[in-house]
Amino acid sequence: MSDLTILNHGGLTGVDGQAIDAIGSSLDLSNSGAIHGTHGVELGESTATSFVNTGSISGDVDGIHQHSSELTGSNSGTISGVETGFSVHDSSTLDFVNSGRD
Amino acid sequence: MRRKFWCGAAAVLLVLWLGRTGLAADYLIFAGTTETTPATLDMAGDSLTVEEGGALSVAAGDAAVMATADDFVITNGGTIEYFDFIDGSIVVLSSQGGVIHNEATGTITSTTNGITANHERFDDPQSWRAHGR
Repeated sequence: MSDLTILNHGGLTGVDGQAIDAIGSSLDLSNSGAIHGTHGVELGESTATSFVNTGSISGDVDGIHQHSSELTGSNSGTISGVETGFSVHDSSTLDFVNSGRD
Repeated sequence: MRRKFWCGAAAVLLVLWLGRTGLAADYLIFAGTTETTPATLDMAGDSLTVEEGGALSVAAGDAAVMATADDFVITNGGTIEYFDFIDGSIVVLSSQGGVIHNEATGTITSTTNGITANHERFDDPQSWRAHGR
């Protein structure tokens, strides 16, 4: 397991993958920049207890994609995907305060 | 003569010991310079700083930055980019307390994943589903 904090104010891009891919890990994210990938953020068996977006998270498929993961945070920016903003699967939990766009 | 020999030997041993105990490494890529060798952060407290106008541009290898150290710090005001198809720009494996700070002037790009946080290395990090998880 990894325990990682990402503070992104610039550009973060995964052209043929996820911009951020957390697998079996703990992730804290503060984003005021632009995050883009196939999925902007993918969580697999991971926990994000501090997830704050004031910027942009976008995906060619999903903005945020979860499997068996817990996500707690807020959005006052934009979260978008060509298919969906949030795609939540496999008993994942999403506790999100949204005042932006998704 | 013998005393000089033993003093020299002691100095060599001290250097080797310091190396083994692993003093944290600080990598700095200056503005206007491009580094093409992947960076490895494998000792606690290791850091990598890319200044605005500097670049870490890796065409081949597992990742541009491989971080297995605890409490590492990556600060990017320039460019970290990765063009291979193995892992991604920044790969974090079994690390506790690492921080990646991508500044407003910073860009992190990859042909695969931008940042991957994992507990182990997969041959195909593109989809954890491929591993039945």
